Amino acid sequence: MPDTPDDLRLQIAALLPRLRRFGRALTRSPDDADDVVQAAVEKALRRIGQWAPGTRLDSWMFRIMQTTWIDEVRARERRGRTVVHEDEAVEICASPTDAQIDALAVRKAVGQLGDDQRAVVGLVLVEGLSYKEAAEVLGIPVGTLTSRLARAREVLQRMLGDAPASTVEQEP
Amino acid sequence: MSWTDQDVTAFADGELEAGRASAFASDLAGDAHLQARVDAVRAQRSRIASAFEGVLREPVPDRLAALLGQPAANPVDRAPERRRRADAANSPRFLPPWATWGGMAASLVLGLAVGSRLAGGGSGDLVAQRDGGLVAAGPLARALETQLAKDAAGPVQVQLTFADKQGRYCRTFTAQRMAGLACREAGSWQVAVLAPRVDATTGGLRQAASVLPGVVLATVDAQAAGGTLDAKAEGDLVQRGWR
Repeated sequence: MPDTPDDLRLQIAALLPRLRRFGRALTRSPDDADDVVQAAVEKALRRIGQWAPGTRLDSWMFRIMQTTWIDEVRARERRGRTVVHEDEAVEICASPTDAQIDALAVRKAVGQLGDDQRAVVGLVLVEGLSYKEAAEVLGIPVGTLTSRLARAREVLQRMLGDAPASTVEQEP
Repeated sequence: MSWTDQDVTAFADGELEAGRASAFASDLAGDAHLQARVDAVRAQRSRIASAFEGVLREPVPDRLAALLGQPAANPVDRAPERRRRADAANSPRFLPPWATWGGMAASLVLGLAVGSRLAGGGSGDLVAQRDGGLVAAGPLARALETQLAKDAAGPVQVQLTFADKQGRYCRTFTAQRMAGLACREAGSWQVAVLAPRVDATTGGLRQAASVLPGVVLATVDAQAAGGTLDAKAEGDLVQRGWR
């Protein structure tokens, strides 16, 4: 039975947490991430007839988000504005756990990757898409995706090392 | 046989084609080094995935849910939000939903760039835990109590002073690599916000506030009862011990 637009609306609503998560990896700030999610949802609702039943709705949404973000990056470049790369602030209790500190370090490192690399990291490592699915979302050959992902991993490895940070370093 | 890094990664990702994957798996059984390479790839992957997992537990903002909540809902107008952001000085981001004032006394905004230990009991600690909240300690407490914004020097710099809507006096500060906001209550300075500082890299006039992270500025905007206090008012308060 074909999905009605209202079914799809509900399915997209259920995807929102994951779309927001992909947005965090794709962009460099939580606000940009939610802006991209919003713009992508608006586009998806306008083009809902273009979604091919039987294909992954999450991949379709990721693709719309990715193209929306690339358009936004280009628009900012045209306006002569660099993309603001903000430090992220998170709410944590007075004694941050090692995991929270490490998560910040990782998100910061991912934020330092280029746009193309952040997209593959977001799709494969964060959202768990296969290489093939991620390549389809991005409209690139699997080989290109694989090498982009490998480079991103090398960079992250250099920035983060192997072991999760276990302490907040004392400044000398 | 020897396996390339690409093979190891593909295997760890479950992407090695079936025939080679079984050959890999049989090599893996007796090869601790190969196993370690696979483990390293998997550990990095799970570390990266974990770092973003928290988003899934965050409440979805109303503006997004509203797009899908009602069939045939009209698109939400983002222009007012964008204007509000554009208007704010130094492009601070709007205050995240969790950063409401009510929850702040017991919460702490901490960025990775926080370069000093927070509360370990050493003499250089800038904050201490008390009753589940944070209070300024050591050099930070001294600076908040006695430093005038115009004299800012030393390890802690105080910038803006204002009265908040609860009638408390609050001051923004930068210290080493962090910046924050503290309000005087019950004789001590309660640290309401702590975040990594941002350094102004633009030339020209350097505003004192330009090193304050957006989250701190947004809190000032949201909570200042009036404008910030001028140097004379600030000096009087220091003289009177903030009473």
